Amino acid sequence: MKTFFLTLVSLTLISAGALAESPNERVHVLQKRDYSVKNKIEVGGLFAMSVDDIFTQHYAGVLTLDYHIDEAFALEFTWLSCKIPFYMGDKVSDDPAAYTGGWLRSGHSYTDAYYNIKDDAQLSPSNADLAMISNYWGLNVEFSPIYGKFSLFNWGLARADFYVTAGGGVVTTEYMRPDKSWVDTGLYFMGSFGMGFRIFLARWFAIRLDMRDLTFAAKVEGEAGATGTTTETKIRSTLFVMLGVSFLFGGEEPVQIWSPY
Amino acid sequence: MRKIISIIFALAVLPGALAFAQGNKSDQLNQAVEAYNANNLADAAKQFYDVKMNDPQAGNRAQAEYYLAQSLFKMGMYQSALAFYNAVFVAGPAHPYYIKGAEGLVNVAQALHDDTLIPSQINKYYNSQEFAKMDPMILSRINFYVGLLLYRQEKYGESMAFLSAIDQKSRVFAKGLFLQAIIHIRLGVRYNLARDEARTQAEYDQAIKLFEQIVDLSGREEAKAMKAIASYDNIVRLWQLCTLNQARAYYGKGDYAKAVMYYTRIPKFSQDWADALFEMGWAYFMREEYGRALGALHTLHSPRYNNLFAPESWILKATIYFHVCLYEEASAALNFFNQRYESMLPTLKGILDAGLPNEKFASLLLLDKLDKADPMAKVPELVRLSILTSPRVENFRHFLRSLEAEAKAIEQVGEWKGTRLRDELAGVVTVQRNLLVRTAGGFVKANLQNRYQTILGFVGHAKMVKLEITSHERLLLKAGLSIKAEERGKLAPRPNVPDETYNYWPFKEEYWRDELGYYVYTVRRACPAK
Repeated sequence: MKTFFLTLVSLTLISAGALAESPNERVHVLQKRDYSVKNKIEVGGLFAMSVDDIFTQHYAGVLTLDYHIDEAFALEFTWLSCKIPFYMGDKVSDDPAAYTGGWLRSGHSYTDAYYNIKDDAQLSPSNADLAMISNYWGLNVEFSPIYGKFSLFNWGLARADFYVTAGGGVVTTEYMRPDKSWVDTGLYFMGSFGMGFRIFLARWFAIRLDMRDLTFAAKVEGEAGATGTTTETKIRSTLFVMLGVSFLFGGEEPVQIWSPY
Repeated sequence: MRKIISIIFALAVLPGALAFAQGNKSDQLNQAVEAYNANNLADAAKQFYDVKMNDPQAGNRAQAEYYLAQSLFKMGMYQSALAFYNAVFVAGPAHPYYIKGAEGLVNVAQALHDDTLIPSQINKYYNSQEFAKMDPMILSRINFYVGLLLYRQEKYGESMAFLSAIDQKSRVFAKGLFLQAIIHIRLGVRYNLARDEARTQAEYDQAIKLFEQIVDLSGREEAKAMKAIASYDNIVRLWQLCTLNQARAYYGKGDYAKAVMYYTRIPKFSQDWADALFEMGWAYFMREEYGRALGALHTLHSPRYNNLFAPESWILKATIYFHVCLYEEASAALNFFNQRYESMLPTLKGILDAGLPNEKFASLLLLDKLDKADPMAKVPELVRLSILTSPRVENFRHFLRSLEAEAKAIEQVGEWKGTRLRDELAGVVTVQRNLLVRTAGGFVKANLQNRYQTILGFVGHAKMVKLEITSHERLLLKAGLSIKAEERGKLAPRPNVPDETYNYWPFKEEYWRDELGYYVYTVRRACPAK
């Protein structure tokens, strides 16, 4: 896949002298990579937004730390945070004001759909559907089988790696009761699958665009019965789109032969 | 009687008058020197010229002549200065400023970027005994110029003698070493043609040693290289040329692997890259790495080098195809050669046979825009560009610009208005300009002839390859085999990616700038089994 997404205008100059392609030969390009990620540490900062939940909306900051084992495989630690942990309130609080952490709080919100159902139809979605991710710490394996490059109006070339990622980690979620009190559901396992690509603008700098599907079993308070409140569990998955930048450090520097050029 | 009295009177008075005139001239010389020391150069030049022309004392005239040249040199009127330095120099050791005149000539040669006319003048009057008294740095430069001149005349032994006499501290020391290395290469080629293997190898080894010595001046690291840059003329370019010529020397020795190693050190898009690609094509061909050879030529035939004059590259391409029995492809390459290069021959011949004087050729080199009526406007673009890329072109242009600026400057000096000095200097510049135009024209003409002969030579090669193709196709038919290569053999598999630091891309008729230089062909193995 030489070019993907945008190959608006590449250096597609056809030589006046080029001969018609012959069935008796093939032309290949064996290009020494301009950059190598092997043994490099990549630190990334991304902005994430959930895109598929009906009732919840997440905005998150994401910190990634990748170690590139070779050109194709990397291990990645991810911290996705919609609110700063251990900062805003206790585990269960009946006082919603305790959770009002200013702008940090705004990583969580319910959608208009939730308020429409709740206010207009006098209905309430299940608590499991209202659970929102607060923080996720995970480890992923990243595999980059596809590389590409593109050029936009001949402004130069950008290289890109397309990758898939899978892994898991722990997550904290919380939800708001109908009485507007917040419930922190505690820490439990979450799976992560995704894909993305990084566009290298320099050997040490890249732009990253990711999609991550975070899947978890939301454990929340169920219906109140005679014997007390039951626990309801529901598999929830939230798709995040992330955009950010990353910086690469270390790795093997190319051997420089002294050159007068 | 009255007559006798008059004569006696005249004889009595004359020595006094002469002494008065002499005193007057000596005063003028002193005034001129004072003006010179006060940096009032136009006035000094005017007075020195007057002394030079009118002073009865030879010593004064000689001094004035030299300082006139010095004044003009300091005013940046190099061509005018040259005329008087030359007069001093040509007068020989009897002139009290002979050595200084020679030094002046060297300084003018440097200022005018002239490596032809002045060196040839110095060589003509070279006096080793007298020159030994000269500043060793100036003498080294003279030795370099003379060495260069003799090298161009293919007098390699004599040239070597001058070049090896260059002082190690001289700014032209590295240039001298480089020229010696090039002479060894030339001798290597000569012995190779004479099939003297031992001497061929010895010459190339000597050349490689000298190239290494030049590169060693850099210390092979940036910090030390900066010191060398401050000490030697054009050293960076010499280092670059050393890489290319080391590759050539190894090629000459038949060590194609090392030749390729040095060729690949020449960075992409540098001014030597096209040469390196073409010669690398040959080196791969000699190693029978046909896919890589064709790959190198693929870059050379890409749009980046659309305007490159490279007729031989198409002959090489055809030869490679011929070697792998891809006759259709070989014929296509030859047809392309014919269409692109052979078609130029009638035009070039027309220009060369038109009996134009040398001056008429100069416009190709000296003018940025050619008038349609100018015969040089008919020169095919590829040929014109190939001539303009010669480093000597910039020297010619620099010389011309300098002469034009000097002519203007002479006009504008107020002190010289209406003087003989101005007329003489204007005349000198005009004569030199005419000479330059003739020389530049001669250079262009020689180059056009060279291009014509080059193409003509390869037309002959092309015909030979075509003949071979026809006879091989006949053999195929006789053996009952198909002429079509695709019916004769298998297409080689795509090349292996050496390691993960390489990216593989298929070539789909798109030239990506970053891919130039990385092409590899796989071809059908179409030669019948023997």
